[in-house]
Amino acid sequence: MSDRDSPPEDLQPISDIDPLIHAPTRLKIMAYLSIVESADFTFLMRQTGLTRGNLSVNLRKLEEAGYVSITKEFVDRIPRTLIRLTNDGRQAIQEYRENMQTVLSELLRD
Amino acid sequence: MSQDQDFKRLQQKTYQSYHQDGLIDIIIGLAIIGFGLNIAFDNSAFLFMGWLPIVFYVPLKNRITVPRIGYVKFYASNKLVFGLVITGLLVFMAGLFVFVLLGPSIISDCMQDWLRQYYMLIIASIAALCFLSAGLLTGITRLYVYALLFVLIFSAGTYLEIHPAIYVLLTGSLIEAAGIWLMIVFLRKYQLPAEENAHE
Repeated sequence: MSDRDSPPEDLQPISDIDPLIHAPTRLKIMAYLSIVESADFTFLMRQTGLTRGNLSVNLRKLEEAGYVSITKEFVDRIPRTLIRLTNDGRQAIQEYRENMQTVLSELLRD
Repeated sequence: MSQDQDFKRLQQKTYQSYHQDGLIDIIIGLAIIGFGLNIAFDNSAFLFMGWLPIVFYVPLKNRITVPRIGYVKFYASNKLVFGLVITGLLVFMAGLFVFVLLGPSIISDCMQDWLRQYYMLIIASIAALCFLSAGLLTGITRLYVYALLFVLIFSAGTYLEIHPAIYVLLTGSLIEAAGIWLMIVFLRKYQLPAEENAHE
C-alpha cells in the first residue's frame, strides 16, 4: 500500500475494523454466537430476526471467511444444523470489540 | 467495560429467551409440591415423585421448546457455576436435616428447639438464596419473585403457626401455576414451523 492509499493516522483504528463483521446482520450473528457454545439455525433466526434466506447467505460468508463452522447432526432422527464460532471467529469478534472500543474512546477524547 | 456489560446482557437475554417456556417453573413447582405432600402425609415417596419430572426435562425441552425457538448450548462454565450453586445449597439443606434429625446429642436442647421451631424459615432462606443466585446468573427476573414468595409465604406461615404442608403446597402451586401459564403463552406465541421448512 502506497502512502497515498494508507489512511491518515487518526483514521487508522477505523480502518482496522473488520468489514465482514461490521455489517449489522453479520455482527448480530457473531455477537450471538460469541456468547454461546453453539446454536442451531432456528435459534439464530429467532434471536437475530433475520429471514431464513438472509441468515443462510450471511452464514455462508462467515463460513467462507473461516469464522463459523456449520455441522449437521441428528437428534432423535431429526436433523439439526449446529453453528459455532471457530477460534478465528472468536479472535475476530474480540479484535472487532477492541477496535470499536478504541474508535469510540478516540472520538470521545476529541 | 460497557461492551462487556452489553455482552453479558445479551447472554442474559438469550437465557431468558430459552427459558421463557416455563418448563423450569413447572419442574420446580412439582418438586415443591412433592415436598409439601411429603410433609402432609409423612411419606417420602412424594418427595421422590416431586423430583422425578427432572428426568424428563431434556426430552421435554427437545420436544416442546427446540422445534419452536431452536436449540442453543450454553458454555459449560455457566452451567457449572449454576449447578454448583444449586448442589451446594441442596447439600447444605440435606446436611441441616441430618443435623437436626440424627444429631440431637451434638447440639444443645435449646438449639434443637429453636431449629425445630424455625427450620422452615431456614429452608425458605436457602431456597430464596438459591433463586436469587440463579436469577443473578441468568437474568431471569421471575426467579427473584419466587425468592420473595418463599420468604413471604414461609414467614407468614411460621408466624401464623399454619401447618408447614399448607404453605409449602401453596408456594409450589403458585410456581406451578406460573409455569403452566408461561407454557401456554409460549405455545401460543411460537407455533410449530411448517414441516418442510422446520430444519435448515
